[in-house]
Amino acid sequence: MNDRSTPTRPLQSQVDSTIQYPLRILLPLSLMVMVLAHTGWSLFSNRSQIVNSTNREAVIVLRRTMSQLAGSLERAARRNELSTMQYSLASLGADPEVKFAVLIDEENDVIVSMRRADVGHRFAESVSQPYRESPILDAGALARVRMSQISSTLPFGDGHTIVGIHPVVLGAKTDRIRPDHLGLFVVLRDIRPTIQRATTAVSRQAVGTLVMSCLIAIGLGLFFHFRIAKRLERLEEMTRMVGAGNLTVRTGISGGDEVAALARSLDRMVVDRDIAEQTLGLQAMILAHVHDAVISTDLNGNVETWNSAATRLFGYSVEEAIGRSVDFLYFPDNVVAWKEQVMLPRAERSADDLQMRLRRKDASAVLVSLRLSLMNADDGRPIGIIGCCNDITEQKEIEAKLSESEKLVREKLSELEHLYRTTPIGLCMMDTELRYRRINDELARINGLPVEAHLGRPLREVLPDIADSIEPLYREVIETGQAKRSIEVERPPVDGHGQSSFFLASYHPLKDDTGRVRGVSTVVKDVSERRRAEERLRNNETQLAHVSRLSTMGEMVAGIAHEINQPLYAIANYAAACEHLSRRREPGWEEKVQSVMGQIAEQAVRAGEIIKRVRGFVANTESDYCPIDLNELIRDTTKLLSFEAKRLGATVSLELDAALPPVMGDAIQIQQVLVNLIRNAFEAMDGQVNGKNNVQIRSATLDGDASVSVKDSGPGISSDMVDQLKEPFYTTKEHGLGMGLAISQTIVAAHEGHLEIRSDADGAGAEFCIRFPALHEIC
Amino acid sequence: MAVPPTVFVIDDDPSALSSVCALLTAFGMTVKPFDSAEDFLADYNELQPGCLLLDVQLQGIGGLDLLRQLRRNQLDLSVIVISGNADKQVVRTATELGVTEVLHKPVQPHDLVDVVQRALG
Repeated sequence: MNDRSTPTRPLQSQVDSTIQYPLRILLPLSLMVMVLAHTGWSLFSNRSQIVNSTNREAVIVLRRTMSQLAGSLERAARRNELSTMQYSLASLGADPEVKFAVLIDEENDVIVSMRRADVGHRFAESVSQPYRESPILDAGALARVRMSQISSTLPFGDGHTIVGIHPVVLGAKTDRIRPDHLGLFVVLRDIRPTIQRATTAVSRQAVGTLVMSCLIAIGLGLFFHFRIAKRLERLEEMTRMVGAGNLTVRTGISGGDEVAALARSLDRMVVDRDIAEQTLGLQAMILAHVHDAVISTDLNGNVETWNSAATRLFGYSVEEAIGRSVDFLYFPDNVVAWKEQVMLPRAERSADDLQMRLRRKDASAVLVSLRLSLMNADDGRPIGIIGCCNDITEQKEIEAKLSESEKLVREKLSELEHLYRTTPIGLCMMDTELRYRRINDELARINGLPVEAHLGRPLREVLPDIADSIEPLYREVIETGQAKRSIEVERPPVDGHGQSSFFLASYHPLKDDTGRVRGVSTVVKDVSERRRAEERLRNNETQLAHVSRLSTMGEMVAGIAHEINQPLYAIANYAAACEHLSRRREPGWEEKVQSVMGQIAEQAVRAGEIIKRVRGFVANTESDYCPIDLNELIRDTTKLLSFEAKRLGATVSLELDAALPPVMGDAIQIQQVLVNLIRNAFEAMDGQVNGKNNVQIRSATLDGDASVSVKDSGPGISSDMVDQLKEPFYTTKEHGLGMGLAISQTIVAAHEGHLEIRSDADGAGAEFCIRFPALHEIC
Repeated sequence: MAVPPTVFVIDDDPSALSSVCALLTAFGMTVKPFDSAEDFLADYNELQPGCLLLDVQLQGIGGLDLLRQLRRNQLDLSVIVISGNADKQVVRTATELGVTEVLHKPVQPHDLVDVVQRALG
């Protein structure tokens, strides 16, 4: 397609296919960040919790330990067992977290200490830095404990040191009211290592979690990369290719997940779009190739589609037409009509084709047939108008010509009709039920009835006398569909008097489009006159032949007389002999007489036969056709001419084909031909030396025909004389009419035979050959 | 006893030949028939007395030709000629050739017998 019906929409701007924020990296990264943050936060919050709980625990443990120890210290103090007290405190030293443990008296002097070196020193001196300056351990704090006699366990303030102060009664119970005898048991415990241990464990756990999380994140990233991102990339690439118009591409993604489902639906969409595109392409192609100009507009009349036929018809290219108001196709005077017509399809009334003049680009007018129809959206809302139009200028011309030629045809038809009606040849049309459908004046005249008496009536009713003979002909034509031509039909005189009529009829089948015979057209020619003329001619010919025979006979009469004389002469001699014998009556005369009488009878018969032969030859009979054995006729004829042969000193030799077929004809006339030919042969040799004169008569079967040739041994005939020979009145003889050969030829032709002369003036003689069709071939 | 004179009859028509022979035989003559001049010439013995009865229209050597031949050979045989058609030319020629008698068909049988008997002497 070189042009599109609609201007091609600009392709979507090239999509930037680079991914700035690849999910396969971002997702794991953010996961890792989250894990990191979580780990950091949990480390932080756990630590203070650990510190607090450890502190609380440490305080409780210290308090319990100190109250136990205080009890044992009090018991030891009552028994004044200082060493036991020392031992009790020294046991505390096993705990590295216990920084110092002392028992001080009311003077704040150290009585017993975990470290033996501190005994006897002032409490303040024995406290090691950095605890020495702490207000918890100053004299005031100690005094408050002494006064309240309630032990206190306090955190030092650095977060990991606890100080426990527990009052211990050093004197007797009765002196309990004397605070002087109240000592203080002070323990300082630094729980940093415990805290350290706890936080370390927590940290290790957090790091482990972090590492696991990272591994998971990496795994996730890889999963995203291969299972999602890669496939999405493929989908993205495919959508780009589809967008670029390649509709053969497929995702090639399989699986049971959402991406695969997406891929499948995308594939399906592409296939659908491919089909839709093909359909669209086909439609566009159809549109481009239709001969009609197809124009579509929106509801405002702005051209949206313009096919190439429209370009051809109006001269505007697609680019020139698209987007313009369709009014440019109209002459100002019929714009209104157009608008009205546009409204018609809107009212959902189908408009018939309009015929109107539209304007071409070159401002010329073109007569078009215009069909408008409304385009509807799927919801039935009208969205535009389609107009199809084609140039009907030519069609109008053709219509005009057609009506003219119709007129001509009508004229011709009426001429033919006239001819059919008035032609002096009988014509009729017969349907397959053998009823007259049509008949002309001549055939009606021949049938002896008016035209009206034929139409619609069956043949048998119209022509009862000859229906038996012609109905089979009609039926054969109807059955075979083959014409039958030149059939001779004889119609006996209607009233039984007068002469028969003869007709030459042809029957032609009339076939419909499927080749079925729907009737028979008949042509009938009255040939009665011709037949009668032929009959007259034949009679004349018969007469002429007879005259000719008489003439021949006249020429032969001397010879015939001699021929008859021979038996008569013999009879006379025999009779005289008999007479003499019977008179003399010598012994044995009766037998002799009887023998001679037999001879007489024989000779009389012979004479009779000669006369019969002659009379037969000159008889003036009606032509009588019957089967003839040519061989017999030849033998008979040679007998008739035997005297001629003898007189002219010629011999006759016969060579007869025993299998010669019989022929149909008039025996006398054919004998006449033979007589003519044989006598001609004799005469051709007249004057030659005796002994060489031979006439050879030969019968033969040639291509199924029976032929007889008569060949003489005379000088022959020159070829230029051969043609003259057949002319009537041409003769080389002094006597004779010169009709012999001409009549022979007429007779042969009347028997559907041929006469042929083969000769050359070369001394090899002339050969006359006659041929007749064999009888079995005729029948 | 002397050999009886013989009538030599030449005629190519069998019925004529046969009837003439029958007639002459009935009259007690010795007859010898020939159907052609050639046969006669082949059989003829000069010493044989008799006469010749000849049909002038013969196939092969014609009757007149035979006469000429006989005359050339100086044969003294009386010849009676029978002519079918009264052709004057034939009669004249025959007479010139010295035939005893010329008869024209139809010949009365008795005339024929008389002529032959005369010829035989």
